[in-house]
Order: sequence, then structure tokens, then C-alpha cells
Amino acid sequence: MTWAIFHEQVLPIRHKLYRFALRITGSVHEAEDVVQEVLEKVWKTAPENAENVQNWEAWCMTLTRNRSLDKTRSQSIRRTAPLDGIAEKSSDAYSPAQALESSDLVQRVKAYMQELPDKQRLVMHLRDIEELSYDEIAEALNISMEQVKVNLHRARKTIRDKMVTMVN
Amino acid sequence: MKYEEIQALLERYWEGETSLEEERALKAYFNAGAIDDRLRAEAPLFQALKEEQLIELKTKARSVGLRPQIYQWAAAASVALLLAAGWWMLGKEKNSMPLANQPQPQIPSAMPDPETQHHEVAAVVEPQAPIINKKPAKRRVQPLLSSNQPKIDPETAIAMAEIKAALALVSAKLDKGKKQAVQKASYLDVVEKLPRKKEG
Repeated sequence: MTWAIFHEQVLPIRHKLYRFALRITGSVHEAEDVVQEVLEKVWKTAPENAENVQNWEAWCMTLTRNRSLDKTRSQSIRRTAPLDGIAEKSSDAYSPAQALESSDLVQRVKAYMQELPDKQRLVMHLRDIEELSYDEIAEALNISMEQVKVNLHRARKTIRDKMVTMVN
Repeated sequence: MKYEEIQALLERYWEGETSLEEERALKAYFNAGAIDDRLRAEAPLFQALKEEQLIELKTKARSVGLRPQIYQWAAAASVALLLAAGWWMLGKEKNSMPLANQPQPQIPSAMPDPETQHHEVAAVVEPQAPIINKKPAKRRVQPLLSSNQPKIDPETAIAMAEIKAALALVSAKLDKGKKQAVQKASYLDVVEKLPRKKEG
């Protein structure tokens, strides 16, 4: 991998990788570290992977997911999933309430998304925020297309049900 | 878009049957402002999705990306060093002939003063610089225009700092080289003077 390829194909998706890491770890600092480690790894191992990797984005997403899960497991970081919909008060924890200008309802929907079971949360994230195809989601999460669809449907249904009770 | 169209898209969205394009249309509709009152209850989700899409990594990882660039600067710097050294050696050889005949050793001409030396380095490094800088520069300009975020500035600052560090390195090496060169040249001076004293 040359610097040009790295610059054109890997660097631009760093924000995407960061959001993904943030979704999994729930920690701004952890997510930043994950992205840094992933970028370094991609750069260093690129020569041996250059022929096998066809889709650098999917490859990076997989690395990000694995690294984020490692961090979450090893340090047993609790992701911000408050039961009452109010974000935990921690300077480091990712809190949807960080965007102060958005309405309370929007913040609560973000909290609902963060409360979803892991698989549903990641599928919904990759589809509705990163706008990946079902194929790409299946590859990034290493699950079947059927699993992608089922989890996405469940995630959206849960969000809808909670929104209905929120409004009423 | 009309209420009926959005309503139909929404139903399919909840069932997980919408395409990416249709989902983008929903996000666009609910973030554009003019939302039909009957659809207000659904708006927060699509507004939340939009907000989440705007989350970006701060400059930290950028410096990781720049690290390989440092290597290129280091390479440019070593080329500059080699050229400077070669140039000096050549100058020394050329001057050694007239030096033998002239009573006054020509140290100033053999030894470049710091000013010209720095110019020489700048001239050597410069052809490299556009190649390295072209792409990052293009990339930085685009987001600056599209999203009026001043976020680019810290990134540019990092890039500038790294370039400065690289140039400082070159400069330091050159200073060291210059000192050694001056030292060697003073030996030459002594050697040139010794036989003449004997003759005289």
C-alpha cells in the first residue's frame, strides 16, 4: 500500500471507524485509541495484506469491531446504556446529550438506540447512520444477510415502540 | 414530498424494506424543516440519525496519518544532506589546487556560510515538497468549503508542526556538518602553511 492509497481509501473513513468504535465501546477515549491502533495496523500490515484485501473499508470496519470488542472485554467498560434514558455523568463516556442544541426527544431516541442489544445496535448503526448495504454489514459484522435483516427489523421495531410510549 | 409518500416510506422503513436511497429521502425530509404535523412523532428518530452522522473524530488520528509523511520528509532531508555534503566535497577538491599556489587559504569559498547553505537546502527540498503536499492540500480545501467547520485548522497546524520539525532536523544536521567542515578546513589551513614556512 502506498501513501496515496492509504490517504485516499483509508484515511477518509476514519470518522466512520470512530463512530463505529464509539458505538461499541461507548467511550470517546477508547474509540479514539481504537481508530489510532487500527490505522497504524492497516499501515504496517498493508504489504502482506495488499493482495488479499479487496475492500479496505470492510477490512478496516472488521479491524475496528474486533479491536473495540477487545477493549470492551479487557477493561469491561460499561457502555452508556442508562435504563431511565438519562445519560451517565462521566467526562469520558459517550453521551448523546453532548449535542446540546438538539431537542430532548432526539436525545431520548439516541439513548434508545444505545440501549439496544449489541447485534441490533451495530446493525442499525451501520445501516441507518453509515448507510451500508446489507452485504457490507454482513461482512463487517461477520454474520449472515438474514441475520442482518432480522436484527435491523427488530432494532427498528424496538425504537418505534419506545417512541410511541415516549410521545404518549 | 407529500404526506402520503412519506407515510408509505415510513411503513416500509419500520418493516425493514426500504432501500438506502429511500432511507436517505426520509432523513432529508425530516431534517429539512417543513414537516407535516401528522408526521411529527417520527421526526426525532431521523433527526437523531442525522446528528449521529455528523460525529467526527478530532485531530488525533490525523497525526497518525501524517506519520508516513514524516518518513518522506526524512528521505528528502537525507537527500538534501547527501547533496550538500557532495557539493562541499567537490568545492573542497576544486579549491585545493589554487589553495596550494596561493599564500591565503580560501576557506570562505570552500566553506559556505550558513545563509547560502540554507538556501541550497531549501532548493533541494522544494521539488519534493509539492509532490508530498499536493494531495493533502486538495483534501483539506474541500471540507473547508462544504462544511464551514474550522476543524481543518488544527490539522493544518499539525502538518505545519511536523514539517517544521523535519526542517529543524535538517537544519541541525547541517549545522553539525558545517562545524566539522570548518574544523577540517582549519587543518587544511595549517597543512598549507607548514611547508611554506620551511621554504621561507
